[in-house]
Amino acid sequence: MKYLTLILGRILTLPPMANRSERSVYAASTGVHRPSWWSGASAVIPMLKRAEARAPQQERGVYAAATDDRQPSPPGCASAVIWTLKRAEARAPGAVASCALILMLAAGAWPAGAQTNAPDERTRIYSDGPGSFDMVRHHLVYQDNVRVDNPEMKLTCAWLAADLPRPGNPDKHILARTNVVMDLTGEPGKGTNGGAGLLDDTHQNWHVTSDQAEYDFHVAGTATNETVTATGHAVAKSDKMTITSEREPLVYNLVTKLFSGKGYDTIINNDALNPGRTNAAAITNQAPTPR
Amino acid sequence: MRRAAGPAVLAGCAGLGLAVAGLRGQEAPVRQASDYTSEEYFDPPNALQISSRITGAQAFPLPGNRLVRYKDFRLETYDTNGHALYIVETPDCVYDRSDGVARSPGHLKVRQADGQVTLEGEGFLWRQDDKFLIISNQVQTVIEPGPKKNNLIP
Repeated sequence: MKYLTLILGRILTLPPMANRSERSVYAASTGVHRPSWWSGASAVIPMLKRAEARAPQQERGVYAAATDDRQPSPPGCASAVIWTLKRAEARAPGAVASCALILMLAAGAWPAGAQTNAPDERTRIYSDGPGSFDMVRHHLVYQDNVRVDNPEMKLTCAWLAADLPRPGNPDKHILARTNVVMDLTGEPGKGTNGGAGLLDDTHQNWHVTSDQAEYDFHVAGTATNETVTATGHAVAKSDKMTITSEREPLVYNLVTKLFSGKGYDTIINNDALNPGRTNAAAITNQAPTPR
Repeated sequence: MRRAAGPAVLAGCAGLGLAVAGLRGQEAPVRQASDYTSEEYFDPPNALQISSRITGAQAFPLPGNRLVRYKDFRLETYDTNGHALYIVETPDCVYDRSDGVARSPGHLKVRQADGQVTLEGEGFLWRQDDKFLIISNQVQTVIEPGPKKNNLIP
């Protein structure tokens, strides 16, 4: 039922937005380390809370919500699950257990023991040009068409330096410079909001460009810190929003799947807020350019 | 760094029983050797600890007595506690005894001794003094999420 609740939470967060301004302004960070709407300050968050509060009460009859004509979700997300659910209902009304099973399968929540292929968690770094390796400092520098391939991050750049993990010390540090392009993979179920909600950042895949990027992996006691920091003309795009920061670092936490930083702009696609409408304009908090 | 003198470094030398001087700058005669081993030690106070070990299936002196060509070249580096750090392997390379530089246009493979990092590329230059390696092209590094083994030289 946890997964049902999550899915229903997503479904129920998509009421018509006609009474909303299409050009609502969402304030960016005010010195705190995330946008205000992440902390519940905007009108969106209370709406989500109401929807999620309703979800447990509607577990039995809630599938009507899934028949909403809106088809909001991108491929691979909730919409596929909804359509599967519709078909299942048509054949066997009331078969909640079957639906739950379908949902679990669609959400990739089958027990890990049943999986045959373990994910490849290795990080691969390639370069066409020369690499220099200081074997005393465990420091590697790559040049020319550098690529990093990791299950959660793909990166390309022109120059990259890596401090390799030392025996007995798993800490890693990578510095990428010049034409940095990253693709960060979201992961359902992670993040502070538990993977639910209209502006659920944890489900999003991000395309990030910047002048420089730093990857840090640090273990302190039982805590693992894994971040990517984009600096210099940083732009992070997902299918729901765009975050930009000209000078200040934009930090992506690979553990919580959240962005943080100071003084950045956020532009939220209206398609994400109101997926049933067409010709939706983007909403932005970007300050107007002085004339 | 101190490099071990001739007889000591040839402990593993088999076959032709030949001398390849391990001391850089010492113009000792070089002859063909097989199962060649050369060891280098840390400076005091760790003078008893091996800093690096070079092995080769075969070593051929080149004209001029300065360059030595190795087949199945293998370099192992260690820290001052005797733990292995890296293993460098290449099927063929030339070592310059005068400046302690090895180079090759061929394939190179470097492994961290605990198996967490492997590095490959085409063409390299290795400076023995500062343990600095330059790989010319097609550099590929694989970093495992965690160590595979406990500093055991395979």
